[in-house]
This record gives sequence, C-alpha cells and structure tokens, in this order.
Amino acid sequence: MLECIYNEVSNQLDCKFIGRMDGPHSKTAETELNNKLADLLEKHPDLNVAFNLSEVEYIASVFIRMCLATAKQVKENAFSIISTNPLIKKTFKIAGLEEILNVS
Amino acid sequence: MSDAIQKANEYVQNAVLAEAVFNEIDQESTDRIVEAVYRAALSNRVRLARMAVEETCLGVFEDKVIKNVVASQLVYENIKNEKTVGIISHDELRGVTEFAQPLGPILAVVPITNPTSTVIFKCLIALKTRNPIIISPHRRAAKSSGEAAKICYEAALSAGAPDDCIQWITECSRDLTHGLMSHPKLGLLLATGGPGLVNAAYSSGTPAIGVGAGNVPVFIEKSAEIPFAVRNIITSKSFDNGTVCASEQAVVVEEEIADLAKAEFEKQGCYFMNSDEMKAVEKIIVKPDTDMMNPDIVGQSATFIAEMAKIKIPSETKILMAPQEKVGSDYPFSGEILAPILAFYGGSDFQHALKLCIDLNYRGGIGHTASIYSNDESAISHFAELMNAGRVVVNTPSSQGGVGGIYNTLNTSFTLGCGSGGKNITTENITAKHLINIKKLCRRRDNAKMKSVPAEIYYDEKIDVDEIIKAYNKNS
Repeated sequence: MLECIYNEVSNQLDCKFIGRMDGPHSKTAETELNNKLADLLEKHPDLNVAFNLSEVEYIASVFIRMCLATAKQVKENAFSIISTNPLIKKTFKIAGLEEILNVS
Repeated sequence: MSDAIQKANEYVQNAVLAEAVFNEIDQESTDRIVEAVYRAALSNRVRLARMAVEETCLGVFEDKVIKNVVASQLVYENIKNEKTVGIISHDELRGVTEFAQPLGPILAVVPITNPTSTVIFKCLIALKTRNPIIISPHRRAAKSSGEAAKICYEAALSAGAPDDCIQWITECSRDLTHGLMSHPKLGLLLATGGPGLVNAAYSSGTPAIGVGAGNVPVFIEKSAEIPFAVRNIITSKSFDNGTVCASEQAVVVEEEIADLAKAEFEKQGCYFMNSDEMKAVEKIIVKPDTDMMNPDIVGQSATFIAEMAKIKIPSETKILMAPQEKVGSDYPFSGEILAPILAFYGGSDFQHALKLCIDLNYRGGIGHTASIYSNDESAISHFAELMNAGRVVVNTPSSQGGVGGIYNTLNTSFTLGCGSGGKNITTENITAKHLINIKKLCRRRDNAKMKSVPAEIYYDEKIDVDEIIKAYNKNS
C-alpha cells in the first residue's frame, strides 16, 4: 500500500511517501509528482522539493531514478531527501548519490 | 570519453544502483530470488543447450543439457541452505559474530565452452550473495549466453530482485571489456577462460577470481579394476567432446598392465593412432604461430578431428589415443587439449609412472586436477601427496568429479580455483561463499595468559625468551 502526501507552501513542496517504494509504486508516484511539478515550476521557478522518507521501508532503483530526475528539474541544491532510516541512508550511500541528492 | 568507456560506465552505474537496492533485501527474499532463477534455468535447460551448440558449433547437445542441469539444479542444491545475508555465524565462546557483506558489482567472463551453464552458475552464486552481475560472453557465444542471462534476469525480477541485478553485454569488444574490468566501482572479476583473459583480469587492478589451465594426468594404478577405469575415463573425456578443463589429458599406466589397458580402451571404442597418424593430428592440435591449442578442434568429435587431419578411423571412435613416451613442449600430446584426444604413457613401474604424472601435472596444469584409479590406499595417498592440484579425484571421471556434486561432495562449480600454481587465490571450487566480504563483530574476550605476564618483562632486554615463554604459559 502506497501513499503520497503532498504539502505545498509557497515555493516549497514537501512529499511524504508511505510504504514500500518498489517499481510499480514508484512509477505511479512519479507520474503524479511530474504533473504536480510541471504546474508548480511554472509558478515558482525557484521551487524547493523535499522527499520525506520517514515512513518508507524499501526503495527500488526506479525510486532512486525518480529522485535523480526530480533533482534535475529544480535548481541546484533545491532538492533534498529527509528523515531516511539508516538502511535507506546506506542504500543512497552505496549508490554514491547521498551528496548529490542531499540525503539526511 | 570513448564510446566503450561510456558504455562501461553505464553498465557499472546500473549495477551500482542494483547493489544499493540489494542492500535492503533480507535472506528470505534473496533465497526466493535464487529459487526463481534456478527453476527458470532448469526449465530452459534443453532450449539453452540447443542454442549453445548451434551458435558455437562445439560440444555435444545432450552433454550441454546436463551441464545446464548441473549449473542450475546441483548448484542450487549446493547453496540453497547457505546463510549469505546478515549474521552468518556466531561463536559465543570466542565472542565473534560474522556478517556477510556483498562484494559489489561482479563482471563475469564466460567461456565459449560453457556459454549457458557458466552464466546460470554465476548468476545463481551472485544473486545468492546479493551482488549484481554483468555477464561478458565470448563473442562467438553472445546470443546463447545473452539468452541464458535474460532468462535468469526475468526470473529474478519476477521474484523481487532489483532492476539491473543481471546485465549482459550485447556488443562484445576488447575496449569495453577492459573498460569494465578496470572500472573503479567494480567489486570483483569472476574470470573463467584462457590464460590471456585471466592475466588481463589480474592486471586490471580489480580483485579477481580466476582459473588456471588444466593438464590432468590420470593414473591407472595396477590395483585398479581396468574395465571400470577405462569406462569412466571415456565417459569423462568424451563428455561434451572434452571441453571440461578438469577432463583427463593423459593416461598413465604401469607397464605390467599397459597391454590390458590398451586392449580395454580399444574394446570400448577408442582408437590408438600410429606414428604417421599422430604426426598428422599433431599438426592440427596446436597453432604454430601462437604455440597454443588450436581453437578449431576444441569441443569437436574424434571423427571430425580425424577428418581435419586426413586420417582414417572407425566411424564410432570415441577418443583418439596417442601413445607417448616423453612430456614437454616438443610433444603436443602431452599438453592440454580440450577435445577427445588422450595421450597414453606406460611407466616401467610404479615410481616411473608417478614421475610421468608429475611431469604431466607440471606441464601447464599445476593447481588444477589430477586423477587416479586404484584400490590401494597407500598408492592413492602417495599420488595425492605428489600432485600439485586443487583436486585429486579417485576412481571418478575427472570432468564430473572436478565440477563437484555428482561423484563427490566438492562444491558444484564451473570455476575451479587452481591456487598459486594457476596464479589463483584459492584451490577451492568457487561458490557463493567466495563472493562475500565477511565482517567480524568481536566482543571483548581478554587474553588471560597475556594479562598474567607482568608487562615489565617484555621491556627488559636482559630477560631471556624462554623465561618470557614460561611466564606466558604459567598455570596460575
């Protein structure tokens, strides 16, 4: 079961994912997010995006690619991943993406 | 950046992502993935064997099927209960807990002789240890190796494995292979192939598990049951037309049983060549420009080779026998030939026969495999002591015996370590346990003996070593 909770405040978009971000769930989330981003970036070219993974227990490579694609759409340092559990932090570390994606 | 380097980066980056996701997968899920791959590979054993023979034009279809069965079913049975994720052992007394950690992306080089079975084997042991794997096939077997990899990959994905946990190279090029081999993010090279390839792997700067060349002597000692020994040697050497590196290369017998053994080989369908015929065959088994085995005869039948050499032999001939006296580079039959050709030596007595076996073993096959047929335990031990081999198989077809799991309890493997003799790190049959880093969690366990020694005596140069040893071992 996947849930995505979006919270928009001015030029800040917080995306809280809940559940297993496996391949199919990540693809669903990516479609939804891309639609939202297209609108928001038009309004706020300096949009900041944060992915909250506090309630995510698993991420697939599709989700990691989605993180990379989102980071590319916004300005430098305007993307971050927050509240990861240690296992998922290690996943980003092994992938060599912890710094690029501002993972904490 | 060249296209090859860019492509190498893509393969490795994909594998690194798979490695990252594998980090989140537990033992149960890992085992589910491995089981799915094994079942898919076993289901496709016949189709893959047919593809391999059609594409490479070498080997025997039925034997390729059996190779696929060994690579899937026997390898799976061998590794299925291994712990390869998280805690793998705990010793309360020593205070040591061991954890398995994946090595990282593996580049697996696959030989033309086993283009599908080696893929299945390497995929199973890589997935069991949560390592992503990139298959680098032989250029003349890219289609069948690629298909084997695809079957394994789709099964792995369906069982929840990460994307790109198995990749396979579709455009074989030397630059791409070298780009991959030396990629800084590669964890291991699993190189099964000829000496050139294995040397390139070792020179790449990436940790490598390679194999050595074989030159397996098989000693039929006089206490052996000759018809049994001959039947087993033929079974082994004719299997897939001699493409197994652990297959027998030279038969050594003591003179007193030489005639009996020769008659038995003839009775069971082998053909002893005369000196003219041997000269003709000699010309085609080695390439004069490289002094290496001629790839055109690898995995071909005895009758095909006879036709190439323009000699006439009975159509049902299983193995070409080449009676020899000497061993060395001037005697091509004394070296490794991956085809149904066997050198045949008669030693004047037990000691002479042993010396011939040593010469053959050291003629390019050290660290690999040696074989003996005997019912005399002291002769078996003597032989085993003298051979420089990772495996000495007894009363067993050495092709199947070396691979393990059929006639003995060796790990079932398509990558046979040959120790320092073969320039390898191990003499073992490579399996899942070789593809993990083992982390040791060490709880405090004070060395009581050392604590009982007053530290001052170590600082005082005048104190004799015996006194220090005595203090260390004192019972109080």
